[in-house]
Amino acid sequence: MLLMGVGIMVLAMGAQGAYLLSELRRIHNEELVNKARVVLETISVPLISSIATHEIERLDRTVGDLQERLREIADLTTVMVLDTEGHIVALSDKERYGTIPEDPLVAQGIAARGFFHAYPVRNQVRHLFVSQPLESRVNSLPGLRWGTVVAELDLQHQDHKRAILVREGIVAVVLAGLLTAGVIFLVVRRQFLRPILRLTRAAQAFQNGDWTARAGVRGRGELATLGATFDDMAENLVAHTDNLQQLVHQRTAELATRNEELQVLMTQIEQANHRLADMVRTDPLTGLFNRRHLEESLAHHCALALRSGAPLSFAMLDVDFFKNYNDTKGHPAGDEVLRILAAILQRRLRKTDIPCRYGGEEFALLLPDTAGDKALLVAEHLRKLIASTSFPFGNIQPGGALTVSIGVSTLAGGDKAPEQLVREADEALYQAKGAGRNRVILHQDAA
Amino acid sequence: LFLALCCLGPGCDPQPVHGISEEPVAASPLFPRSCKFAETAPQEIGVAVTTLIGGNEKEQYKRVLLYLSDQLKIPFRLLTFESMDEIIAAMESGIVHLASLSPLAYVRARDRIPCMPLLLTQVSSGTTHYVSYLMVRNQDGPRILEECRGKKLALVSQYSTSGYLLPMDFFLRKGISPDTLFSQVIFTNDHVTSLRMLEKGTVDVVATYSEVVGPARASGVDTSAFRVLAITGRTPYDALVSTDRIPRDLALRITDALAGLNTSTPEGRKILTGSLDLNGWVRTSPEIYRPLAETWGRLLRSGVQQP
Repeated sequence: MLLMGVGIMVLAMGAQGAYLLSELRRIHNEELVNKARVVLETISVPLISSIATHEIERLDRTVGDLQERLREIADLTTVMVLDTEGHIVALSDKERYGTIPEDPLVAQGIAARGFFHAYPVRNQVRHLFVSQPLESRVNSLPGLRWGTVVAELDLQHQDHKRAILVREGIVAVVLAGLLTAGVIFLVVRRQFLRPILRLTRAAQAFQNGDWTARAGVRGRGELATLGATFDDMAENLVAHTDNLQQLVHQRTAELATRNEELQVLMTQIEQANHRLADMVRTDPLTGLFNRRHLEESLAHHCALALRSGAPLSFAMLDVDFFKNYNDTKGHPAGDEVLRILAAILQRRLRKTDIPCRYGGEEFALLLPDTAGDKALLVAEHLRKLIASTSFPFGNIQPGGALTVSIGVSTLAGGDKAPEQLVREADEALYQAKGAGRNRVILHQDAA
Repeated sequence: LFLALCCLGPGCDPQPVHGISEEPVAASPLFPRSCKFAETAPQEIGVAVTTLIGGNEKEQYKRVLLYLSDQLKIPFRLLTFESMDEIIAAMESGIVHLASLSPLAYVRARDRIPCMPLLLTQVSSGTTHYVSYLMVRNQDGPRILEECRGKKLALVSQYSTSGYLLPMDFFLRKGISPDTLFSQVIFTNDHVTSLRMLEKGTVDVVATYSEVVGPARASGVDTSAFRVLAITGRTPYDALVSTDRIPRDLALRITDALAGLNTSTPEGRKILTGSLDLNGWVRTSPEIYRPLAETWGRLLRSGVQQP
């Protein structure tokens, strides 16, 4: 683009040079004509006077003066003075006096009412033909025509000089044009192209992630301002991004802290929930499941046993003469007995069995996948173990030891509601109580 | 560049260019519309000249009048008067039908004779204008104007253009009063007489004109002993005027006849050649006398000249 611009500029300068040379040529020609015109007009006054007064010698002298003055302009070919009919009345060649020149240009000069000039080419050499009427007149009114003075100048030397001048001019114009074009190229490159390239590269690098890229355009002008603005913008962008990153890091750290705190809180909540759940289904005195959990588990296991056909047994355990113990040793001692019993139950039962505190001194045992006979054995084993255990102040009990009565019910392949299973175990427990306590009774349906 | 290089070749040489400076052809003499011109020609045309010219000059005029009589078939008679003032008075009275007035006389006569068509301007030494000089002796004459103090000045007459109007205006423009600069100012009535007095030393500075040299030399004055001290102005030659006492067509025929008479032909030279430098006449315009009228007005306003 730049080279094309320089090319156009050189062409324009060439055209301008051609125009200037053409003007130079025109001015040169006009100058020649004007010089000749001034000489002829000046000399026409004494020529007219000489003709009017018919002083031929003075006329010849004046023509001699005219020749000298014209030679100062260019090489002189001819000077002659013609009368109104075109006869030669004064000429360097006296033999031609009185004759009429055959040159048509002379006829044109005679016919002209004012100064006349032409550029005839004779023997391939350009000439300047000039003529001036010798006339006495007032303003533009037709006056007295005394004759015509004509002259012809050989322009060979003038044209040669001018050709040299033109040639030198062309060389000067070309050199000046090239120099100017070069200077313009350098200036444009320095002032415009280089800053634009720097800007482009910086912008591309910046776009590709090089945040350190800067245009670095120096100087004055719009491009320098643009470059400085770009650099400022890049600085601001980098600073802004750094600030953003710092802010993100800070916010992330704060969020992590909050997350950790939340995690701890959630753990605490979960633990609290667990504790709450445990509290909901656990008996606070003995640490066994409470009656609520028993009812949920009993319903679940009843349904499970009904679908799978597996046996399920249930036992109700009651401390014999516990009222007596409480009344005698107080409730704290009674509570301690209950905790010991609970520990025995937890320790001696299977992991899959579910011991619960049913209420007061009553305990319930849910024995999944356990038929009636097996349940009876488990209950008997527990009764014996409790009876043989040394409880604090157990000796105050009737019989000298703390005992328990156990009623057992079972569900074996039949459809039985959980309430019925509990009621049958409770009936069996009453039977055990009625039979003298410290014994295990299996409900008759189970037997 | 290509175009420029072309200009080096012979092909770029301009074709012969002809240049002609033409000027428009102008009209015939002015005949004021308000004037009533005679319808019939008088028996004889009275032509006025001053007695200031010598016998040789009178013979020149007579040959011209004979020429006119031959051309127009009307008798012309030469009338001589002592001064331009008398000629103007004679024109007013109707005695004179045709007159050759000095430029200043023409300017002054226009106020008195409104119906005075300007026919032609005289041509002398091939020109329609002449130059007015202050002339001094070569040997002992003043070299600058300031050296004229205490010298004697010769003017011609108060109707003379170069012998009075132009030098007086020249002094006026220079801020010089001739009465205080010169010890004496005299009127000689004649240019040749002025030069003769200059030659003899009677006066030191002469107000005259460029074409006086010929007549003065013919009168035996050694004009080579003089030089020009200052050019005081340039003015057209004498005006040939007619009056409303001759018909317009006759005035035009006189104009045509005299415009065709000049010294470019042997016949013309035979009629016009003489001590009076007269080469013929050209058609003219009152406009060329306007600067002179302005000068005259300036002089009147200055109080130097009474109307």
